[in-house]
Order: sequence, then C-alpha cells, then structure tokens
Amino acid sequence: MKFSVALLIAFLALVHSRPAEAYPHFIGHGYPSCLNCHYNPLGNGPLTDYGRSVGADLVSSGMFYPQNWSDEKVASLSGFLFRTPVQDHIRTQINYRGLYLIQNPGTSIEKKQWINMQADGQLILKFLEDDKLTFVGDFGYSPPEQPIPGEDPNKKFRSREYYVGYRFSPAIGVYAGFMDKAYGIRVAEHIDFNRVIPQVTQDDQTHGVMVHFVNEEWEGAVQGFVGNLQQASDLRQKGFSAIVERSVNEIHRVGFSVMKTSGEYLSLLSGALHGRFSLKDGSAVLVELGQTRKSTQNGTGDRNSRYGLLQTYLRPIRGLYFLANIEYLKGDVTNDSTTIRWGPGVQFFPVQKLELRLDVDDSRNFNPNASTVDNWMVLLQTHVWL
Amino acid sequence: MKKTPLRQIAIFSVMALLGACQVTNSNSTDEFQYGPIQLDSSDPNFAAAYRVLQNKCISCHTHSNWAVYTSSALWADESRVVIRGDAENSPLIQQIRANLMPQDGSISSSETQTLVNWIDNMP
Repeated sequence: MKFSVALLIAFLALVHSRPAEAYPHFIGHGYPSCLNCHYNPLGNGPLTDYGRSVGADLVSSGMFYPQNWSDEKVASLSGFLFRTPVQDHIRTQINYRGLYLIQNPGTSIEKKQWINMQADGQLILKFLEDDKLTFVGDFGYSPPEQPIPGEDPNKKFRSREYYVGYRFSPAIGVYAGFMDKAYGIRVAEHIDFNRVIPQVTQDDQTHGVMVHFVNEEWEGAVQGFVGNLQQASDLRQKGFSAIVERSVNEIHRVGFSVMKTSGEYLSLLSGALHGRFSLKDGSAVLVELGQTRKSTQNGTGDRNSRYGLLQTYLRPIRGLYFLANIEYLKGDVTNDSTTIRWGPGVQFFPVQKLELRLDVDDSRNFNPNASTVDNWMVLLQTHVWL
Repeated sequence: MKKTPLRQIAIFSVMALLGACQVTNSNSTDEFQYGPIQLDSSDPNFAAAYRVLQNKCISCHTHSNWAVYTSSALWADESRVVIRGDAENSPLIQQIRANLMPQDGSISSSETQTLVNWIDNMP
C-alpha cells in the first residue's frame, strides 16, 4: 500500500499531462459499446476490471508471456500494479503517455521534443449490485503550456473528470459531474486536429448531466451542461449535446451527433455523422464527417468549418495494428483552402499495460491561389497503464 | 475481504480537489479573440501587425493563447515565436519564409513585411 502511493506521487511529480484516449476501433474485436470496458459509457477514462482483462489477453500480443501461462493467469495480473483486487469497492489506476515528436524532419527548421501527453491517477468507487453506483475521479499533472492572463501559472494540476454514475438497469444510466461532452468519435489524432473545431479537445470537459441508454440495436446519450464551473462565468460554454448510434448487422455502428453551446463571446452549433465498421479479427474502419458554425461577438471568427476523418486499423497478428489515417479540414467553407492530414502508423501492444506507437503525418494545404508545402511529423508514443 | 484503504481514498480526494485548479481550455482566450479588443498603443507598428496576426495566425491557432498578447512586449516576452529586433531569426517569420505557415499560403509579401517591420523595430 505504501509502495503504491509513493510510486503514484513520484510518478505524478515527474511528468505532466495532456490527452486521454479511447479505442473505438475495438469494435473490430466485437466490442461496439465502450461500456463493456470503460466506466464512462462513451469511452475514455479508467478501465473496468473486465476492460483490464481484455487489455491483458485479447489486445496484447502474448508473445512475451511464458508459454505455460493461461489467459486466466495473464488476466489475473491486469489489476492495479499487477495485483488481483482483494475488495469490490475501490479501484485505482495510473496512466502515462509520452510522445517524442519530430516536426519537419530533415529540414533547417527541424524541431524535436518530448511531450508528456498524459500523467493521470484515477480513483473509482463502486457500490451496489452490478456496480450500479460509481464515482470516478481523475487527477493529473498538467501545467499550462503558456501563461494565460487571469490564471495562476503555478497551478499545474488538473482533473479531467469527476462524476457520479447510477445505472437504473443495464439499459439506462445517469451520470452527473465533470466529463467530456457526448459528441463524435474520440481518438487521439482526431482530438488533436479536427475536434479543435467543435471544441471537444482533451481540455474541454464540462459540468453537466448525461443520460445514457443502450440496447441490442441502439446506443446513445443526451447531455445538458453549464460549462466548466471552475472557469470565469463569461467564458463558460453552456448548452447540450447528443450522440446516437445504431447497430448494423450486429457488428457495425452508424450514428450522428449534435451539439449547441454558447458563452458571452462565442456560440457554436455542430453536427456530425459517423460510422464504426468491424472488419473482424480486430480490424476496423472509423469514419466521421462534421460541420461547425461559429458565431462570435465581434464578428472576427464567424465561419462555417467542415471536417472529416477516415481511419483504418488492420490487425495481422494479435497485439499489432497497422493504421492509415486521413483527416480533412476546411476551416472556412466559403474559401478555396482545404487542409489534408494523412499518414500511416503502427500500434503495438507487446505485453499488457504497454502500448508502443509510431505514426508519420503529413499536413498539406491545397489552395489554388497560393504556394504551400508539406508539413511532415514523426510521432513515437509510449503508453503505460498500471 | 480486506479493510478499506482509507488513506488511499484520502490522498486521491485531496488530489482531485487540487486538480480543480488549472482550467485552461478552448475558451480561455475567448474574451481576447472574440470580445472587444484593446491593443497597447506604445508601439506604433503593433496595430498593423496585430491585424495580420489576427487574420493569418490567431484565427487558426485558436488553441494557443496568442490572442491575449495585445502588446508588443507580450509577443516578445511570452510567445516564443518572436525575437525582439531580429525578424529573420524569429520562428514566426521563419515559418512564413519556408511557406509552412499559414498553411493555406494566404499571406501576402506586404503582410509579411508588416510583421518584419514590427519585429525589427520593436521598442
């Protein structure tokens, strides 16, 4: 116990954090709903015990385990710090994700940097039969990249979610607290790029209430929110969002999202269509197309933006995924400029609790009226969860 | 069944409370980006430069806090993309010269010169 806490504190003191990540492509493993593996029914955040065992067995390669280890033996090590839980009501988790980023490699303006993307500790309290009542809290070291006037630069920690959830039945649950907005597909590349437009990035959680429902054919959530209550009242984006998905042939999902938010200076109206398609045996395709209308008080930012995501995951062997990622962004639908970000990647889970990833990205703007060039990036990621 | 680890709960609870402190998000600079803008007038070249920055840089870099830099001093001291008095070695100008930014290539040579003139003559 002392060792666990000391390790957690030392860990959080050493690193600082940014985005969380979900794995919606696991629909390719026959998991169309995030609820199986995450406490948050829309994904992201801490894993359930079942999710941890899936990560240990189905997701990781297994090639480095002793041959005489059964799946049950591997799963028994999927708990916090490789231990099997000895009680039913408390769970703790640690997530670290680091990124070595090389921008414009091989050019005179090449830039290399290590970014601590995520360094969070999480606490889950769960009670009643089938864990109907849950409390989830997240805490991470995350200093602001640049000082913001009016905010204390010495405040370097933040929580990205804390909420209470109650499931009246397996089909319906209510969640209240601070959490991500119910909108679109949550994958890291998308969050870094296109999800800046509808403002659903890694830092855009909101206080609100969400109702989630799921059955064999349908899954969805409706959320009403009042903005981030820790923020100045004139900056808070209040509104609602909703996401609905329908199963197709039991293994695919298609759906849509809508969101309306407004504050004193800015209003956004967003809509998106998405699909998650299983290619079976762990392979999958994710698609999203969305549009956001932005209205600003002084008129300088008024515009309609359109965006798209196409991401494929091919799994040749257990633990290994080959990625292809294409993103489309039209910052203003009335002009000729369009940005495409595309590139291949490899995601590898050699053992449980460890993910290694290599991506190569090229961002290129296509504008018939201007000279533009390729912006290449190489991204090497390490993700550890304990 | 083992005893509930109360100390673990207490530590996490304190951390969760502390975590409420840092709240920077996509809306942190809304007032500066989309509200009434009041620029510092001590640098005579800044207003023209800010118009270029607003249209060609800040409008896309909404997740940075460039919008709040409403004076030359803030750009020089905080932004990390401007070196006072040395435009050609400033990352802002280097990115433009290399045609990397703005990504839609829409900045004109006269707009670039406005930025160069501003940086080279910063007080």
